Amino acid sequence: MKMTRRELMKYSAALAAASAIGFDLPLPKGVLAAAGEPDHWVKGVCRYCGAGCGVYTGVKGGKVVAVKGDKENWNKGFLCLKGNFLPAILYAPDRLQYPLLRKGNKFVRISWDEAMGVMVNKFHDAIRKNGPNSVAFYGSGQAYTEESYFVNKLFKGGLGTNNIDGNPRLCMASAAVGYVSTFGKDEPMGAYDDINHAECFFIIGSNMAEAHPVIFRMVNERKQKGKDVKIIMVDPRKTLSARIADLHMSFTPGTDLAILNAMAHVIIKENLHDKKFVDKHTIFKTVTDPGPPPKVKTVTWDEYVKFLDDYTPEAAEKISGCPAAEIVKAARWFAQSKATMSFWCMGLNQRTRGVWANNMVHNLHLLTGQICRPGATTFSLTGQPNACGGVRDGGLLSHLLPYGRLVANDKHREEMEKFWGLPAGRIQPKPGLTAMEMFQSVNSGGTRCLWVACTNPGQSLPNVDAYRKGMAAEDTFLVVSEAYHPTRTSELADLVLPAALWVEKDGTYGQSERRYQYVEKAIEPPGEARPDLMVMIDFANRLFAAMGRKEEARKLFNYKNSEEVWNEIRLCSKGTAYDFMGMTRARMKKAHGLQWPCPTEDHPGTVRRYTSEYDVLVKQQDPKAEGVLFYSAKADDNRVTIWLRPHKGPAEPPDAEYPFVLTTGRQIEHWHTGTMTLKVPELKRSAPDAYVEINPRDAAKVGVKNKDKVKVTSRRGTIVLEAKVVDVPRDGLVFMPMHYPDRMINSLTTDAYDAMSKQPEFKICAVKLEKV
Amino acid sequence: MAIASVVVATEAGAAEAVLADLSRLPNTEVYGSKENQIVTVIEADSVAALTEGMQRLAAVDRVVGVYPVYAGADE
Repeated sequence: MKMTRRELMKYSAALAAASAIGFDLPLPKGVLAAAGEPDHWVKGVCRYCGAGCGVYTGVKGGKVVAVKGDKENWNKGFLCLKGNFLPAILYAPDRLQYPLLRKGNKFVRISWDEAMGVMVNKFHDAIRKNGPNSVAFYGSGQAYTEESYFVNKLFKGGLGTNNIDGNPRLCMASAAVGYVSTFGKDEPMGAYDDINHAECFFIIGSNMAEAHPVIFRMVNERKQKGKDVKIIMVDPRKTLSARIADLHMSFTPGTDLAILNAMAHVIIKENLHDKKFVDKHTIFKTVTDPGPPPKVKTVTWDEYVKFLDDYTPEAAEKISGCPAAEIVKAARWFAQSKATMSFWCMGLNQRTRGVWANNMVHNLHLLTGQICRPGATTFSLTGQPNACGGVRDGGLLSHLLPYGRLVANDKHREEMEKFWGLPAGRIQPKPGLTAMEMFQSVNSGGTRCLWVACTNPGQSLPNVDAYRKGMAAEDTFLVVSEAYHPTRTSELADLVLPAALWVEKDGTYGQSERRYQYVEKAIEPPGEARPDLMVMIDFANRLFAAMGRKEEARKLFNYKNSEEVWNEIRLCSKGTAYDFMGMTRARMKKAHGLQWPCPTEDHPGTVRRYTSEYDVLVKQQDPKAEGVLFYSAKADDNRVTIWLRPHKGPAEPPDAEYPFVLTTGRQIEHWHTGTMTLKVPELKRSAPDAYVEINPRDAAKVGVKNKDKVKVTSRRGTIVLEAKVVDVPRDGLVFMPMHYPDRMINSLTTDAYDAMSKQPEFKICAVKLEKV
Repeated sequence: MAIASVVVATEAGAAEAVLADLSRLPNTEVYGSKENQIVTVIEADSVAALTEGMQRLAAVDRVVGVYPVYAGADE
């Protein structure tokens, strides 16, 4: 039985409401049950967003025929609409089953042996002629931790190049740098459990209802069950998430920094700050010269208060268009609630001032002491299932080494060289190319060989057309490891390697609340598809043999399976703030996720960090410590930083020629570039195509009616889409979903990026609209 | 076509009576209930018209709250 689009929409809507009250709404009959009841269930994690919902996959006759939420995991058995339809992604007709080599304009099937031979020759040749920095790897927050760790070791430790970065640079680098610059170490200190204790939610730059529905379910449930729980939503669109807000603060895109400073101003002016907490745990810093390298100066409380004089609510209203009274109300609710929890996502991160915006949310929590207590925390939401575990924690960014270590830190490089058994000086001291720099280098010919794994930059990069040219160029050897073909990236490749997908292999995912979870292999991959880890190990050994370094490879890359890599990872984390020595593979197979730090096998995992009540590392750092201790900020005597960050607008504000702001985002039915969700018939029927969302007032101004074709033009490109006229975006703002490969909205977006995080400003660029 | 899902909250012990009343409302479908909360989906010609549907729900005897969760349209 197939559901009609209308039935699917109704079911989707009902699922959201059912989730909100904890009602277990079964799937409609016939949707997934065509293959019958599963023979057995295999424990794992959802393949999509960074929420990291526990799932069981139901297997029958070697095929996945169903999924169900893990009731013993944090998500209490709930899955979102996308998650409920997961099995279909494994059986899409465009699953790639064999290695493919480009011959002119065609791809031809080759063997794995031939594929590895071609790849090794190209990489070896580039390294021999142009040095190790002529090769690069672009990875993913969807790869397993073991895959990211291994390839990081291969490139930084084995080959001696730091040109290895990943797509989290596009989605959460600003959050990572925000945490590090404020707290000294990355990752949220709180957990989803804080939702159950919060009395005020401050949600900024996140459409949780569509992008993280199961976390939003918890917020909604808290709102329903709690007494006088307040939700503040700061967003220039009245999204599905904003519909449950007690206070929806709309503002001119790119001006929210003024609002955040004005909230701090109100909090101090009305004496709502926690002086004791501020005095004991914080210092104040400002940047006196942006550099590079930036010059930072420590300042006083009085200087911070004076700095905020420019950000009265009235001044912020002039900048942002958000009424001063709303700013005052938000500041009071934030400070006066018994426990306030902030959430944000791409709306803050994908900005040229993304790090500053992150710092300023943290500022509010530190000023008010709304931190390190149940319900009081500052929580960055994550886009991918293993962006935290594999990339941020594991160090698969060009400036990082595993588990909180930095490339530019002499001691950290020495530690990793010793741990990996490398000669001193093997790891280069200079950070490598970040994502956008890497693709610029591909364009300029500096990068001769690029390996892209488990991601789709040919669709997802900003200003994408400019970078597709480089990826397609004949003098760049592009290898793409993918489960599907063609994608908008694999179509540009010289060599495409078929990848095992999700439960076709095993590995570890680490999600937003520091919860690491083991995904057990449930079925065999199709055709000759292989787990990326096995391909990486094979490639490393072959390449080193070709370079005459076979013995070194035997020491560095001698793994038989993911468990052996995982055991090395545990050792690598030992004694760091991430310590997960207690997460043995045997334990992970049974557990429904464990939150780090988890230093011993009898340790239950850590719900909240930096407080002696929950975090065992506090007493390890200072046996006398009681309550909060930010041991992450050792360099500043365990004091975390309240930053003086001025308001600064976007890189490309609207003007007379391009009068509208374009923002991009997500729909509840789809995920990222749609390679998976657009293969699910039910989801595709529900949301088949991109559109440009415009409000009725702006639509009237440009003479556009609902469903008219509209030409949208930025300084970089033009696309034509159907208009969706709906009163969701504020005046002057249009929105487009990012998921559709046939609608390359990133032809329009700007590749300007944050100077600190190097994360591009997908969320704001200037466009003009014309009726076609 | 516009669709919205709402959680309809009832007075203690009134869920069954409210369920019966909801079943008589046009363009309204109940998907299930838990304690005093009812998962309800309403349909209308436009998003704006959904508001009227929610008002009808709120007017049902012994309903103490109508909480929109999702609203969308394909037109």
